[in-house]
Amino acid sequence: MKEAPEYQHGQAFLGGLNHVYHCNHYNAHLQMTVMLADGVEGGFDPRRLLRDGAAQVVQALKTRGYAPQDLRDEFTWCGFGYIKDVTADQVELPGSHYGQSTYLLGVPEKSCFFNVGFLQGMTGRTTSETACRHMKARTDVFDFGPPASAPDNPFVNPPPFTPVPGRFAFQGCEIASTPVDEDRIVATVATLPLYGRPPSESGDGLIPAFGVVLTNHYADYYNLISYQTYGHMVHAGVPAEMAREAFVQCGHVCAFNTFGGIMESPEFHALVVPMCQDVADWIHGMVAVINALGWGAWRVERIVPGHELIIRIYNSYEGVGYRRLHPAATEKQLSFLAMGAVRGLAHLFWKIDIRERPGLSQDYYFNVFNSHQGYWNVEQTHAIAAGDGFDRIVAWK
Amino acid sequence: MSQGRSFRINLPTLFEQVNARRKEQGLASVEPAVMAVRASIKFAINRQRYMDLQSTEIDLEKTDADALCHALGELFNVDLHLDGDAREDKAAASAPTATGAEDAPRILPMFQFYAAINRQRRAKGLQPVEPAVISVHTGIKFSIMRRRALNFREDKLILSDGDLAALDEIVAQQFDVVIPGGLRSLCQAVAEAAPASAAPGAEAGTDGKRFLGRLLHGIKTKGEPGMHTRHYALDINNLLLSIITRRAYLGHRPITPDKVKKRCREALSAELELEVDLNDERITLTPEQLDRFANLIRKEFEIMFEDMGDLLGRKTKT
Repeated sequence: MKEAPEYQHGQAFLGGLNHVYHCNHYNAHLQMTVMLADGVEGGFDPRRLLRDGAAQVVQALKTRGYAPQDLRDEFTWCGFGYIKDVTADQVELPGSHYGQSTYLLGVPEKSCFFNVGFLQGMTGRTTSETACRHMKARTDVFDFGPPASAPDNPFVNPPPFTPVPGRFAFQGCEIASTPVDEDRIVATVATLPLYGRPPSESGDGLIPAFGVVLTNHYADYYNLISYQTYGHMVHAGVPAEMAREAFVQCGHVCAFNTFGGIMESPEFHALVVPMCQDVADWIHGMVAVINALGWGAWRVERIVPGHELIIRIYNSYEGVGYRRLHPAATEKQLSFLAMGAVRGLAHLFWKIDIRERPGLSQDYYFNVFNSHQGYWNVEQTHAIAAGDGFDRIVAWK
Repeated sequence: MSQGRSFRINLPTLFEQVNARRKEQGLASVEPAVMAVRASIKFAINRQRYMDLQSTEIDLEKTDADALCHALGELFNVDLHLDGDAREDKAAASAPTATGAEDAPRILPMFQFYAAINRQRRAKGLQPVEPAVISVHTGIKFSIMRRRALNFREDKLILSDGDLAALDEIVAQQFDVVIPGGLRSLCQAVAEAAPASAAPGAEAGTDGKRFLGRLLHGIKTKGEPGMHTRHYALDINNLLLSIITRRAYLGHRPITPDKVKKRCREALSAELELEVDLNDERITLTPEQLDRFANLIRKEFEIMFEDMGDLLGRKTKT
């Protein structure tokens, strides 16, 4: 690895870029949501955005001095798979997060857009996917063509980081204490081997953990593709709340599966559960784990079991990332992942009860959410994207 | 699509008729201004278009007239119909053109929409998709393709043939399945779905025509002479057991049978204005009441099923 990860402001950095852990469900649903914008208006191609967003991130790394091998190493370490040369003009990905672990609900197509963009950015050559596991191919194959133009630098502002207050040391916090030792949890989670191993270490570049497949993804990639798509959808006349809900659902499916998988895991039961006396402690325990994911510094403001959950996020990757890409927003509800995640967290305790370890699976997920009824409401009242000092997410039933 | 008849409707008269029918049913009158505002909102939600109902007269296309009747019916528990006979043409503001059943607006019950998609996905060996995701993905694609927004979280939507064709395309593209016979096969004619409508047999074959025109000629309620209304008997113990079992299967918190009974009773009373004794062995409902009760159960107990027969694990009996 060219650089070691750094942790500051509640975020994790690699090569100067914020990295966040996300599961295959999130990556699948986010990609599908972006692709929903197909046809919004002339000139906007969501598939191209999914590709070019990756190329832009790679370009930022190259600007920092990354060589092709550094990029390959990071691709694998972050859980995207590994790249195997076939010819001078072709590579394949025998291990591929997007090829093996994501999915489409719609008509299958070659859909490893992130990989295409990464490879195009890495090689500086136009890249196309010529075989894809989503189309029943044995592996994902990518062909290189003529030189591609270097992508623009999308980052227009410095990140607006703010000091992170102590756990319960902020105005408005309604919680005084918990027996849950967050520092210990964060430190322990940081020691888990959550990275992709190359074939030389008998790995396939994937990160299976907690019943899902993780990536340590580029936050800027998520922000680039999410906010551009959202803007185009709204501009084309899709109601903002409908477009927002599609992105929030990505966070929800992610939270339910990943948080749920974590809370059912032996590691969580060995480390965190012994610290917990009630449901509020479980939430503090899970929030402590979230604080090791690079998503920003989460703080629990209020818990009314079964009725309300309020979370603040300092230096959220969405809020800070939005400001790196855009001027301050005029709307508040832009931290889509956080909204979905808080709603998902509430559902894990008060729509089901994850403490009973029901055994999460795709069938179980569908059975729990097979009706519109019973979803918690969620609203973002404060937004870093809109110039506030923190994101504040309120979920209630 | 839908450039058929147009109607001039006198709103004060319409609201008077709504109140007259409510009075016949022993219900309190509703202030016309309240009726106008609430119907405007409902209409806007269903049709994604504002209509000023504070004025004296409005001219409406057939589709909008249907939607207005439906909104008033739902909101104020009356049965509104516009007749499709020659008399309504006299009241039309513009010359009528032929309007067949083919392009009549249709009602798509959304729970059937979700069930059909997931039934086909299962048949194809694919995982089912949560309805919330189906509704949002469909809503966005529909907005982009049809350049207007519908709320796919509604219990049902009034759709044109063009809308249904677009939805068939969206379903195939987004969920990788084709609904046999198209989504049209899941739809009801607007008249069939109107609240507290007459017996099913009386509606058969009318396909929306009956719905037009009665607005100007009076309002029909169930029990009209000469019509036979079929009733269904629900076994209460079986119902309670089915609700509790299905909730348990979904991982919901347990509810005692007494609480299920209480919540069913309250829902029936509040939503259908139907007072029933759930300590009886069975209760008897009309098909319309049965469908609405099924919807109440879905909402109240957060469970999903196609119809009462599906919930109870058998077909209901007459």
